[in-house]
Amino acid sequence: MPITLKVNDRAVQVPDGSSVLDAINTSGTYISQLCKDPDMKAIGACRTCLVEIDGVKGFPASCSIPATDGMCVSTEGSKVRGVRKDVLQLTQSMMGGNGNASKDHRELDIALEHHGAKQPRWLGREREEIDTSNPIFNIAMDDCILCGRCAQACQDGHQFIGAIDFLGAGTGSRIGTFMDRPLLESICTTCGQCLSVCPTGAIDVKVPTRNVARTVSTTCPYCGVGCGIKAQVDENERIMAMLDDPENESSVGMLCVKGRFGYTFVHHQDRLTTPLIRKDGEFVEASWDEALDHVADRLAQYDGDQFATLASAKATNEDGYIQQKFARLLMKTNNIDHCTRLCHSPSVEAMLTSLGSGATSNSYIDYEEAGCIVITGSDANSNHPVAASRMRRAVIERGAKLIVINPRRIEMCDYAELWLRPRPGTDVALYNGMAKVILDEGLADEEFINDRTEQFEKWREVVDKYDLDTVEKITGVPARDIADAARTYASPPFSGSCLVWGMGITQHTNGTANAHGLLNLAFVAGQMGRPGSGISPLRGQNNVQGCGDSGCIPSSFPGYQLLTEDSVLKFSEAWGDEPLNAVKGMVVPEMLEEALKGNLKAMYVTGENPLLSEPDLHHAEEAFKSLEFLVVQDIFMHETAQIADVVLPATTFAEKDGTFTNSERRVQRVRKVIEPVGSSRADWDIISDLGRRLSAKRGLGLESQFDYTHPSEIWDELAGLAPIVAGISYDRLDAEGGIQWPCPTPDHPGTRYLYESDFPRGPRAKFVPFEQGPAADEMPSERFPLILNTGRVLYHWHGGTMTTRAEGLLSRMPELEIHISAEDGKRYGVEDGEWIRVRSRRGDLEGRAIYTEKMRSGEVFVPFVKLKDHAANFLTNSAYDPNSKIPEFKVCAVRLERPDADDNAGRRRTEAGIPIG
Amino acid sequence: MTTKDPREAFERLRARAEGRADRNEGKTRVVVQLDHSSFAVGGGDVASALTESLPDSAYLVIAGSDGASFQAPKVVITTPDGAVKSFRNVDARSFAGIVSEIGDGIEGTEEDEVFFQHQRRVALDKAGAISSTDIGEYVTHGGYSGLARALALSPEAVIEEVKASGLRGRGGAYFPAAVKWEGARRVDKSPKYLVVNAEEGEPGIFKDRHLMEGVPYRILEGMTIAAYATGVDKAFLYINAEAELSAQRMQNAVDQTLGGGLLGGNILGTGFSLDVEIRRGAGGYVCGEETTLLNTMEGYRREPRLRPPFPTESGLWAKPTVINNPETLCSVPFILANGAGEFKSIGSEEASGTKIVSLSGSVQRAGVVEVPMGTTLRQIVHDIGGGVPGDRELIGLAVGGPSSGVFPPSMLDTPIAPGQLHDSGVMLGAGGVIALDDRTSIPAVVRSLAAYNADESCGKCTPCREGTPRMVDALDRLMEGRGSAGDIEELLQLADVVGAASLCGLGQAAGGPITSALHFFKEEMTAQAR
Repeated sequence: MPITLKVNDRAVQVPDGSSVLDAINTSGTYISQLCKDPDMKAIGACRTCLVEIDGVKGFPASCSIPATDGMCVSTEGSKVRGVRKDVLQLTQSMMGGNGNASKDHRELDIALEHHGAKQPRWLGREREEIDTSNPIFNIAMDDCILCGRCAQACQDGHQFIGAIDFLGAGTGSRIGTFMDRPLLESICTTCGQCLSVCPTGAIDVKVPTRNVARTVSTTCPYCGVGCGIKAQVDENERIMAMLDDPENESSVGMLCVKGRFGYTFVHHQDRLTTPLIRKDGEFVEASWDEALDHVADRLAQYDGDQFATLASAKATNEDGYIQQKFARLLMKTNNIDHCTRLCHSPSVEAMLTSLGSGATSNSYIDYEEAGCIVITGSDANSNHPVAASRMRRAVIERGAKLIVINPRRIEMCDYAELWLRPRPGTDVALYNGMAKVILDEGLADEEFINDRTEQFEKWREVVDKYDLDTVEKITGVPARDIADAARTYASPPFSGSCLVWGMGITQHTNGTANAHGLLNLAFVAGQMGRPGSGISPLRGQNNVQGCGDSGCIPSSFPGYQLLTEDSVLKFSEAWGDEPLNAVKGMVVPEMLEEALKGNLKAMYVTGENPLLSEPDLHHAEEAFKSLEFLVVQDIFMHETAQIADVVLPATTFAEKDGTFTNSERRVQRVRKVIEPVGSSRADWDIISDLGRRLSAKRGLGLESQFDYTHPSEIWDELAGLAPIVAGISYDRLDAEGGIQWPCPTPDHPGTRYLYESDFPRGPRAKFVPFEQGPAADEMPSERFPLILNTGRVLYHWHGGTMTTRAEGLLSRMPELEIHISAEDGKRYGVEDGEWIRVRSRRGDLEGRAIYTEKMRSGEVFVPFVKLKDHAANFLTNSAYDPNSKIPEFKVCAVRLERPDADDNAGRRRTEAGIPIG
Repeated sequence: MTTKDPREAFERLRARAEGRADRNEGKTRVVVQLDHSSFAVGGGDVASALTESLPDSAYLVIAGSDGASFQAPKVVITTPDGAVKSFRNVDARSFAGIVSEIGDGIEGTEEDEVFFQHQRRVALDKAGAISSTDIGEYVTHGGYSGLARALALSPEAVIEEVKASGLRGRGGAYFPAAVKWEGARRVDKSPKYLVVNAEEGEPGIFKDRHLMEGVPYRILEGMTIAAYATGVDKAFLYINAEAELSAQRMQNAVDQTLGGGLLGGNILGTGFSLDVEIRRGAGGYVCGEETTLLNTMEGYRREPRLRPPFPTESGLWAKPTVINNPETLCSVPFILANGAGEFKSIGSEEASGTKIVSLSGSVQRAGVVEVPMGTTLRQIVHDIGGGVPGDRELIGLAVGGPSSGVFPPSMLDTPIAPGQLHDSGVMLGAGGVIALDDRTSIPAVVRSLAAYNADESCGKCTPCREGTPRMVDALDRLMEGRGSAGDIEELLQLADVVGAASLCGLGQAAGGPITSALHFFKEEMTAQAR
């Protein structure tokens, strides 16, 4: 029921639950409100929104009074105006004591102006010093009015991090960190949520934003969370800032450090701006006509299995759709794959087998509503920071039980009820053991098992062997903790349980077995198909979901339509009645093997850098070098581009229109923020142009199949062919914001969670039993005594192609950090902070040794970003999971060396690697 | 739930307690009043000496203070024949060791008895006379009969009885107690909590300590009735961090009451249960502000919360919470035991019952006094307190605590009443009266009170944080001869805005000392101004 009240004698209608301040704002009347952020709860500290209300004594703060029907509010009575003016002048008197009175204090200045109080009434008081420790922004206490919005944003207003809060009391109050250390030494993640809410600019970037010409809403290009961002652009077509988007349902007003500050790569001088053709071993600049004709000429020489292409999970759905159409229609091959092979292929493989669909079943809102969240093999704080904030909200605000399963002590452990620390590669035993507890203690969801699953008994026979003692021996996790975790997951204190996982599950030779172990757990506990429950393989890339959705996988057409006779016919008819190849294409590791054998001769790589992201890089480089023709289309000159025959400059997310689909299946608009840099072009545009040329060259007469003027036309074609997104259009996305598939019809609202009553494969999900196999392909030995674990860090994105070109991010982590336990440090004579080398059988890297409690003795962690020419994938093993072909990035054997050992010539290096010390 | 009459269960319990008390029949009763003020002047040594030298023919009772702090340490002896002798300012060093010869103490005089003559004891009834560490004495002296009756009534009827009594909160806000209870009872959420606000952090107020040290069981009885009336089964006693003796006495009382079936599960066989937990204050005047108190209980910063929501709707851990002052709760057993009419017959037409006043400063007889509402300040300061000693001259009174105000002697005939005593900002508050004589000056006192308010400002809201120190600055200018008429104006304006705009009561009342001083003592206040 809406409420009607009067503000300064004018009737205003507001929704139930609104405050008087909301009503004033709705009425369009200006009132000062320094401590009330539009998206956070009232604090009531600034006392500048005081009003008069008929029948209420005194001058209540409108932010904290609920609006009620018939209320008469007045903002401009001379007495209340005078009180507000006095309060504002007292506020003003906090500033200027350090001699910076002339600074623009934004909302405070506007409020003072409105009250005719620009002239300071008191001398400013002396304040604390500026904290300049963070490389991206400062906290200037002498511009701070102690409104508390920043601390609120850091805490339960948004991020649930709690790096900053008030210290001291009275006039000694200030914003600071635990133990009053500089911000950089705190747990601050530089997400910048604090500066986004600061009313006076006391917390601000070191080079303040100026001259904003326009603001464009779009979607973040980093991880799979899919946060809404608003890009501010100046009149010189330069992005000045990225703001969070409170309207976005996935990010609900939050951003992480990469989303907010990582955009500067767009304008980096290293951007590729013109096509390059290799002539006599050197790259030569070329026109688009020259370059595309050249590519068309060369590609016309190949087809079928002689050609393969890698699509980009960073590009849009429209880009991906065109690329797979190009491969299938013009190159007559299904050899199209993308980086999902390196991240969630085991999850997808297992989910396709057991459920018939390879997507996250639930939404981020389900984390917030869950009674239990199990997060395994995922360092969500680093890799999906905003999703992690929503999990923290569940724990802190609603008392959800968080269970972390990870060999490393990740930051989410700080919020966990239980932390299980299995030995690397022993996940199958752990999940089988948890399942047995659920079965033995009568916690299984009999109804779900009986009515909605199959192969239960066959699975049960296998799981029965995994009693707690056995599992404790295999995993190293105490039996009691395994049992507690199983009980909490199966019977959460309220609502349901969410199961969330990442690369720690998949990047193993046991990857598919691990994923099945998790799915089986969800089935036996019946934890899917309702709010607050579900299964979530957290997607890494911004559009890795959409890349698969739009058909960039060798096994199916867009919308996961398998290569059946019917579907081949359907797409053939849709695409100009041209016959299509019905044979399943190659996945990435197969492409590399075929290239080495000389069968695969030409490749077209878009927005990927396999020579950094593949395991065992020396091996991968050999494969790519054996190709006859390689085209790389990207935004920067990277390792793979450097050995290409043609390099085509593509645009970034900021220079094109399109859509991304995030980890919760939400299709969201990407909007063109600036004009393309240099002569770069959008991926869909380049490949369409190439498609027309190749069609002509081959005489196929399919030029019209690549004739698009705007990505919306591509989307409409995709939606017409893929029932899961059939109801989504650009018009709807513009009007409603993101929409979650399945969305079969234009009047369908989208789908928050899947599997409420059945599964894509039919009425029943399938239990698939797996035994614990060998923990990993390569285990520690005398020569290589340590286990290397790889992953990501908050401040870098994957290989670092983008983030090493964003100064703010790079300055937070400019060199590789090699995480080891202090115990191992002492054992191998490595000092904390020493520059050291890590070597595996395949290669080596150098970085800075960091002692950390996150690591257990015997294990080393190196992020896979390339910094100062060192990258983890020189070390990793290309052994792969037989079911999904994912390489085992998470485990290989290494040793630590001291780089100065080189001085004794190569001899010592080749000697059987004796650990130093 | 059983439906047995709780009064029968209570009668059995009382009979047992009386049986135990009979064991001391024929012995001399030696009561040593051991409270925090007594400890400060050697009371602990007196108690030790008495314990060591006590003959078999006597038994020792540890009591709290009867309020006559000027007499501490105080020992009261009752011989088997009923003769009572009271000894004040007892000195343990010269203590003879024989009960009949507590000679180095000064035997009470009739003049001392004047201190009690004008008082009416409800909350403090029998404080100092009965044991504060033995529940049996409280029960045999009428304790818990109020609870027994309350439990025989419906919770609604208990609220009606309290409503009819006109009882208002004694923490300083004087909100009708029954209305608060009703509000909490009506909220359809569980659990609900009762929090007793015994933070008492301000200078010049020490009544709650006297209650906790003297009649701890009465506080528990009042809490239990309040909990029953409001539907609470978990209560917290929030005790000032420095009031160590109070916390000990209360913890002992809780433990004993649990053992006696008067707390915990199934109280007096009614099925009603109450758990009481003691929490210690987080330090600072503002912790006595009730939402700040809740914040500190939850582990948050000591700063007030926004209202609404009010604690009765969303208080401790966002659950409905009744917050009462110990003094308020100590009136409740009387109301239930004797009826609302009896309580209403005490005090004035507008304000029923008594008020405990913490009387200190320049008076002959300082201590804790309980008087009917409507008693004048003159009766309190002169008749009970004996006025300023010797040839000193009374220059004024600081009434109500640091955020209230100052009165000149001409206002001595003001009767005490809930809330405002004078529209210049003087309030009864929690009931502190500090007599000021000519050894100090009003500006010095006002400056001291203003500085206290500035120091204690939590810093959350702008007007209080920024305004209170500027008031001190202006006072300094005035007192140091650097001031001008503009400073007077600024003081009044600051007092006005801080009062009108501050978030909590601390700031809202912070201007009181200044506005009242400028009203009554303008000449003194501006004497140094240019």
